[in-house]
Amino acid sequence: MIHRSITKNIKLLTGYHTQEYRHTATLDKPIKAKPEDSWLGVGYYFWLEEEFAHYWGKDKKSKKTGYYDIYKAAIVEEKILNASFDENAYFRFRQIIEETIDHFQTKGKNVTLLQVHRFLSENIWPKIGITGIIFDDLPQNKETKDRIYSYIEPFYYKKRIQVVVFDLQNISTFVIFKEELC
Amino acid sequence: MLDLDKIYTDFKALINQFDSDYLDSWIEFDNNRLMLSKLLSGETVSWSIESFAEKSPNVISSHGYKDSFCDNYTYRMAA
Repeated sequence: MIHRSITKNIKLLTGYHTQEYRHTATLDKPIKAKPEDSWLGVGYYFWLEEEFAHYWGKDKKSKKTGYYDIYKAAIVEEKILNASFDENAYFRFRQIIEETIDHFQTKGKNVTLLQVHRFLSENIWPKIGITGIIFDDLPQNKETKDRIYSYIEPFYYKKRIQVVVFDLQNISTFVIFKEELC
Repeated sequence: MLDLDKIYTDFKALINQFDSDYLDSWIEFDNNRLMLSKLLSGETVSWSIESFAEKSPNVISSHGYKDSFCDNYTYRMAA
């Protein structure tokens, strides 16, 4: 279930941002993803379901301390391209990616898909009014037995949905939500 | 509600402005920042000091990464 709220007539999407526990203080804003991890472009990443925020914490964000923190954000949804659930948005998203790849290739440049996403996030999306993208993959990496991605393995039917937000100004609130021990 | 047709029209107008020189410049910037990111993560990268000194000011000043790079660098040095 994806959670939304409305504040002052602004539609807000709830996102979950997982980070390693910090002894000193909690974060007051999300951390921008490293460029090499920015699979939808350079920006701030959030899970749209709490379940996957916990998995991310257990797998990736608790190696130093044994704890992870989940922050809850309210994200302005109006100009986010929902390529996960909106059919028209998905096909436009695909088209723009493919035509960007083609643009590079016709000029003799070799690029990776990650590079194309980084290029779009910095040179295209914000300039044509897109503030973020919702997209997903399938959870094929089942690391522990307590995770139920499907009742009929190995067909995993749950989407791992993330939203990338390109600019902090489109994150309305950001607060600590849970501190968990692995 | 997003106007997807307008988004696509605007995309077509914009993408054609990025000529070969711009793409080369952006690819170079992107490669340099990946190197820097890996370096700051503690990975070994094959970069000479001269090359680093030449390239990092360009990355930092042109693309607004000064704060995060400096923060990371300070943090790692302190640790």
